[in-house]
Amino acid sequence: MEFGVSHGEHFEGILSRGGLGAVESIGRWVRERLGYYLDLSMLLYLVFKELVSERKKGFPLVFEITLRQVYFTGVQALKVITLVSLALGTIVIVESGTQMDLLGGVQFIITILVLVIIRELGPLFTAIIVIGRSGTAIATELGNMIVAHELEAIRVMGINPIYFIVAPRVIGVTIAVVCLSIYFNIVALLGGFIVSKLILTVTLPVFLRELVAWLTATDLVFGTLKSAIFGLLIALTCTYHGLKVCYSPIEVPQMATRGVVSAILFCFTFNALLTLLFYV
Amino acid sequence: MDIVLEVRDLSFRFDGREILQRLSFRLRRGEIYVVLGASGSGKSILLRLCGGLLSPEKGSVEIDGLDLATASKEALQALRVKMGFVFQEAALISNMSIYDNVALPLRYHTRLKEPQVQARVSEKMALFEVDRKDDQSIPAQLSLGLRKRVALARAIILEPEYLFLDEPSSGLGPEADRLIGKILKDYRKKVGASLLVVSSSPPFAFTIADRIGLLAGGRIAAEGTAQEMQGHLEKMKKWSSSVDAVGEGAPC
Repeated sequence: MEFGVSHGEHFEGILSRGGLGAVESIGRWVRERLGYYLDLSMLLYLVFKELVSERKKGFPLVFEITLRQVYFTGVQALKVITLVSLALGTIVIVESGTQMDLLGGVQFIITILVLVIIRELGPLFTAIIVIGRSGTAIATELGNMIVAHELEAIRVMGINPIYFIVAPRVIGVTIAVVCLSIYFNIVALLGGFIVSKLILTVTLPVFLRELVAWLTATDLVFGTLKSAIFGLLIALTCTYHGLKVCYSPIEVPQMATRGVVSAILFCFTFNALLTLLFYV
Repeated sequence: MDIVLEVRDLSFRFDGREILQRLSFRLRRGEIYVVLGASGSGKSILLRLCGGLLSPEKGSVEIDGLDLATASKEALQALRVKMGFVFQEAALISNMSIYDNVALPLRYHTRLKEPQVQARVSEKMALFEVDRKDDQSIPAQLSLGLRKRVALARAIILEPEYLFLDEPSSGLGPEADRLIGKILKDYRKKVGASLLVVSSSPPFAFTIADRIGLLAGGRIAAEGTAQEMQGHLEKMKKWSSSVDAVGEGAPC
């Protein structure tokens, strides 16, 4: 309590100071977030701009790096994707099927499979697996390249780092996520069918008939578009955070974690927005 | 006198500390200029400024009349093809084999067929006595000395006009000092290249340099031919123990 200041004046002073401070903090936070989204958008723009402007230099090298990224992110994740998608298909069928059986609507489980897996969980689970496997690897790799001055070495050789390092990872991860999502859906449906046949005696003709009836072109386009957007978001956020490392090895895991968390948040947010856009 | 590199009143701060203060020097065409300084005196930072990897706070760096701070992206990229750079820690690309590291500038900037690339890579690796059995090894599997030699081979693979070398022979021993000194001098003679070398080794500097600049207190404290700089030998002994270290990290 300050001398010569009444309780009321003192309380008002604290409020105004606290209120201004809160507004300032919110303003700073909004500015930082907008700056972050702008940086990511700029990175995306640069990826495509440099792909066009630098395409005559070292294209075979860039193409090879892209293919290698597709292999590491896509092909090497197939085992994990297979297990997760089979498990998910099983869970959906078991949970929904037993209830639907009681209500006499076993054929509706295929509807649920389409709604839950093809539209929502297939792309989302694929994205989460890719974030865990490839997102951390990309952010860590780029961070280590900065610490070891490799990125400087690339620049000083007259090689465009966006074209040579970032673009192949963005393109490779996006292609891999789209392909993995399609694979995830196929395996989840297959797993779902096997379980539904065993537990609920749904026959193949019935399964296929209901699938064709409920699976629309919108679902396929929507699912593919979602996967492509997730792939772009994962690659962009993880490369961005990897490139934010300054010079200390301690920053590498910190930035990798930030990249992963950002990628997860982006994927969930965009998932909700896209669902609202397409289906409401 | 044809000047290829002009550094004028260069100043640079890092972590609030003044590393370089109104530093000036010139590199002539076909010359080997060694900046000799104690560990932590700002040699690596100076080289990065000259290579356009850092921007100075004040002053300018011009290579063949091109101001690096104001040059367009295309002009800078074209200049870099004529530039070879060797980092203190070699800075080889860690997920590429050493063969691919040396071949990288050729594959990116030229349309040479793979047999021609192979021939050029073999020639440069043989020059620096890099054993071909290590071709498919990745940098992490090799000693610093071998990584340095691979980095040197990579730096001259395009036969650049300008070479910037950060402690090219450190960690390699006196025999390697002589070998690398001889190779660089032969390279300069063959291609007419201009070399800017930063080093903390007076014996290496005296072996190779046409002119030596003594970096102390953030500026070129003394400059002259190798013979002229013999007179500053005492100063060189003193700065090795007294100059403040500024740390190895380069600012981002």
